[in-house]
Amino acid sequence: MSTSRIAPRRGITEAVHGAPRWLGWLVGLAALALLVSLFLGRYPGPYLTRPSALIEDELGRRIVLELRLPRILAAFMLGAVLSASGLVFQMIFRNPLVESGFLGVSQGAAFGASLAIVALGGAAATVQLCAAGFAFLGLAASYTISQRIRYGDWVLRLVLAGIAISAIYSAGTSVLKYLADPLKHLPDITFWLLGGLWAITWPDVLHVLPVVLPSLAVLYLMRWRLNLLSLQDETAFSLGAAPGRERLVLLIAAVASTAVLVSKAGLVGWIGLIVPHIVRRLFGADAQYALPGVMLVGGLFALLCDNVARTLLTGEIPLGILTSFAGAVFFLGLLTRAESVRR
Amino acid sequence: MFHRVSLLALVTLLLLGLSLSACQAPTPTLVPTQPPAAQEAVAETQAAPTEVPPTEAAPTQAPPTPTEVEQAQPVLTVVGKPLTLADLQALEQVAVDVEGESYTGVRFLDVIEAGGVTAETLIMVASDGYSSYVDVADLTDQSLLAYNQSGGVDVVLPGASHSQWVQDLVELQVVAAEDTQESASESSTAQPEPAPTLAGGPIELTDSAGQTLKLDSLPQRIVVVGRGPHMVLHLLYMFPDARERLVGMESKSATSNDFARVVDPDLGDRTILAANPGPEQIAALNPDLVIMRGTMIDPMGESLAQIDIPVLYVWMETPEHFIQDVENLGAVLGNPQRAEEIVSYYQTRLDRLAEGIAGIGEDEKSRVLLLEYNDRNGEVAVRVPAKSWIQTVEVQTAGGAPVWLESAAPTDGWTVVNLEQIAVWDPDKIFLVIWYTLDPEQVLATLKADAKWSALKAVREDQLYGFPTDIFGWDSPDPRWILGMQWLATRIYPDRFADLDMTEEVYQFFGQLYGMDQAAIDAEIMPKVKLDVH
Repeated sequence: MSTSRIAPRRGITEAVHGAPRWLGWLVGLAALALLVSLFLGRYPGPYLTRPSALIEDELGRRIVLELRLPRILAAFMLGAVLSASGLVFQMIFRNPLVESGFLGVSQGAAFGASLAIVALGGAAATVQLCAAGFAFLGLAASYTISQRIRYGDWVLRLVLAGIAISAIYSAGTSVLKYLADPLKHLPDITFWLLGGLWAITWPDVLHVLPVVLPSLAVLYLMRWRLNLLSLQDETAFSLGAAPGRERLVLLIAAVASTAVLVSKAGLVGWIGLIVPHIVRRLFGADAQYALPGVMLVGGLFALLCDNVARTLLTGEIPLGILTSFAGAVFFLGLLTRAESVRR
Repeated sequence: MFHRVSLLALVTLLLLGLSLSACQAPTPTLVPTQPPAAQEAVAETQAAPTEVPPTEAAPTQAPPTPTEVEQAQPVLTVVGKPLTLADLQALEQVAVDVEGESYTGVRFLDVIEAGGVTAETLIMVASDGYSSYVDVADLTDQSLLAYNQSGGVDVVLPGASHSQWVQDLVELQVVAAEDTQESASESSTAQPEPAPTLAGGPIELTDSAGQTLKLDSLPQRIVVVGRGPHMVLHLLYMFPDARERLVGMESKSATSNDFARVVDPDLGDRTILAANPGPEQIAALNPDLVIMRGTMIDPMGESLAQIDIPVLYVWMETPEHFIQDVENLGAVLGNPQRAEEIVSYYQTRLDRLAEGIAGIGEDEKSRVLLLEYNDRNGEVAVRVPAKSWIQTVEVQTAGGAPVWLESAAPTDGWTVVNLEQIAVWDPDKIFLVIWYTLDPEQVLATLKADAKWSALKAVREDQLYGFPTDIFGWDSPDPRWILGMQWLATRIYPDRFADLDMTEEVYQFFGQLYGMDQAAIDAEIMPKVKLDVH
């Protein structure tokens, strides 16, 4: 028996039959987009870079290899991770309105990074470890507190706990900003909170890879369980799942990868919320296809937005603006069109 | 079925990955190695759209050394050849009317011919060390060297920016033309060395970010970006050499180049980057030096270091930083003499301020409040500057005691204060830095009419002032801070600084630091300067 039977709305036939082929196309499209992105930029002239120019041009070659390539990879990973964790959160918490900025994860990472900059010297590794540490702490705190709240079902409790923890963290970050040395630390924190991918170089990518790849692997391999975990605990248990433990593993993978990426790219919103919805429209809710789907679509989406951010003007466009604008418009279009088709 | 073992294995793998990433070696050292030849060569083959006419200065800054002194002292040295007043009078004498003024002298072109000069671009050096460039092709029969009161000559260039009207011209120098045919395949050893200034070896300096910057040759393509890029530009424009080498700048707003338009006739040739350019947008201009404000190497600097574009950080928030910044610019522009002149301009004035406030005890100091006043759709906000900012330093150096350091000690940015706190401070003097879109006189009138404000001691005693601006404010980390500081001193201690004539200081500032003559200052600057709004 396939777990995909639980896919709501879209029937099994509808979702599953087309999905593998769609995934194949998406993989091809992603590979193509990654390749083409290498030849998009501002140097030597705006927009398309002729490959032949790179053969003669040493600076051009170095820009492509040392700035564009790591940035392209980071953008794809950022989109894939934010979307995948968004889907995981939405399924586990059975709440379509959550993403990684939930549960005190992003704010925890921001606080951890600021603390590392102010108090621990601010070396790259310290900042990352501290960001990930506080993101986990945020998750753990939200989780623990939610179990002590005496009213509402656990989804509501977790949402409430997450909001409270986020608020405490962001207040903490403000205090750190106030205390920071304006010449030595503050510019770093301010930059960090603003975010963007323009500062990504190879060392940054190499820092995040050892966390991101295993996390994505965990999410991918456990996508079957995700379907079960999205049921009520009793039902999941009766189907052979150990909900508490498996839920924790999935959350850890989602939070770890989000924290390390956010600690390099700053806070980029909306991807984790919108992409899972788009993908569910296309593939159905079955995580078997939806999870690889969100990784690919999320990666593609972030990559396209970042390409626009770095190529369109002589100045960088903030990535968050593009992701929320493009994402929301596309999402609205998809929603209304799907409705009309159904009628 | 998912087993406990594999679960554990996955978690372990994950944690292992996390610790691995944390233990990664720190970022590779970002030493700005320097193959400018490669970049330059690249620029050639790529025909980057922003290519400037490749010229480079030959800064032989040594004073003119006339070899033959006959009946008169030479008034002018033309590319090493001294010319006396008699030599000039031997040329055809002409008179020209420009903007209602009449000038008598000799044609610039005749003098060039008499000096046997064939160069396309000349450096005009004034007796006070100021220098500016002129393209021989731009000279007309109306371009004069006019006799002045002191027995020398002034440059008169009808139609050109007044910054080029060099007063009391003493020397014309040649700008060496760069070999534009250099092929892309040539190695860095073939780089045409820009010159005598590098005889002492590569430039090595420490900048405001505390980094050691090493340059093997004088940068020829400078780009200004980062926060407050216009303030960095204003610093750069004090060096005539910079105008030849500046290829582009970031512009944060429509008004941020307003002063550049006045002092930089070639502004139209420069590439203006939109706000927040990334490293690649900057690299597209092929810079061999990027200048920005900062006190630490930021991620932008690190990204640029990856592609070997060196960054010079300046700061300007204190006089000490400012002097370091000026000296560093003098070094990278190959014109330390100009840096010395600028530093001495500031130092003289700082000394005079220190002298003026000498002997005032800490508790006798006037209690001063400096506020930024902003009004967005009727929402008024008044804010005090950070402790380490130039606005605070200006008040302190002018002998005032900043009341806002007594209780709150904001570390960064403007911090909003409320009227209650201001009433508790009840300062002797209040200076308002009024948002540039607002009319200062109207703002002051509104505040004086306000019952709450008018109860303050400073307002009752008519000690509420609008902080002066010209095109830009005098309170900012911009070369203008010295004007702000001097003006504050005259308002805080009018008796001690009775001899300090601010109008004269404005003429001196723009004349000596930017080479503007009186006519230009009267036209561009003075109409905007309001010294006495209170």
